[in-house]
Amino acid sequence: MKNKIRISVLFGIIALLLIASCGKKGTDQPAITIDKQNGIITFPAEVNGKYLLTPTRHGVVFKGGKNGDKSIFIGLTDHKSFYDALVAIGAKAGNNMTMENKETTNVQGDLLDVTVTWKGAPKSYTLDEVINDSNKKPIVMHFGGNIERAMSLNTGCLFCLDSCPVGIVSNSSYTFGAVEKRKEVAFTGNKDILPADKTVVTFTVKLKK
Amino acid sequence: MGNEYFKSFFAGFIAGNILAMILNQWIYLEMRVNVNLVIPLSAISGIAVYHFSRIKFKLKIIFALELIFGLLVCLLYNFSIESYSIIPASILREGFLLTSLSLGEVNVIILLIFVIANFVLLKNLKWPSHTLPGNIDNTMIE
Repeated sequence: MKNKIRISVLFGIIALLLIASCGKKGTDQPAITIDKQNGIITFPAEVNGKYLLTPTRHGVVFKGGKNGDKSIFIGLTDHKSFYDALVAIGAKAGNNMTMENKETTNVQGDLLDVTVTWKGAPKSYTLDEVINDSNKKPIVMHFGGNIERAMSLNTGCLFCLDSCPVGIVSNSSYTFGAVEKRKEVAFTGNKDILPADKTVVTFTVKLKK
Repeated sequence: MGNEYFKSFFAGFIAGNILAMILNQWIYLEMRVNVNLVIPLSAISGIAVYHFSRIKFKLKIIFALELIFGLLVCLLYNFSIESYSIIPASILREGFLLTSLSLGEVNVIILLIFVIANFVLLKNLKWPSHTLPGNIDNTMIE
């Protein structure tokens, strides 16, 4: 009888925590803002604490995408809106990546300046500062495009950390397979700079001129 | 009887955590599927093993699993102290699809599970008579 009470108490506490979590609100920030005049996009994302220690090839992935929990940042804007916003500020997509050439080709397309900041951050940080590359190579983000594949596969990928045939924007410093297959590099979030898990950060993407 | 189900569930739960942590090292797989689903599956399997075969999980096996779990967190993540606050919570969050909870909140759940489970297990442990005052006839059976 006593055991039953203890077990009931345990599951009761867990149930209460789950119910409490369901009532949580997201950010009040709009999903995406576009400043066409200055060629700037901003969107919110959440820090995923897991990838401050575990390596990944995903930089930012939309929460509702298939890879929504596999990235350093969980994007709160979807891949279609992000693609449309980049087109709206005049960015040209590379569209040079295919499923056949992905392991031998580096992503092309307009270069983008990406910075991240959050409430209480002393400044805006570059991706090189908030993401650790085990080889210390700079992260060079290009507007890859790939909207058809992105929509059909619904991975939700906004920023990939190697050249990707599905992600909207990806890093030209590595070809596809560098993280998972060839183990050339490991990417993790910078735990010395980034705020705690679930903190909402704001990404600013600017077309490099 | 209820206690045996609880022990089986807890043993399966810890074994699932160990398995999930090992599977998380396989980046190719981890990037494609939710490998942490092995935690609830293993916990349910633990109950199923007892229900269908009546095989009992001995306490020393459960404590050994807990020790292996604790050591693995340390060994697989470069002996970093932060790994204890991040890794178990992140795999449990994915395994039980608790994506709306922060790692801090999941850590509270983990702490509660471990404290209550160990309390229940230790309460049922029968201590050898020489460690108890008086002439209590008792034996360490598990």
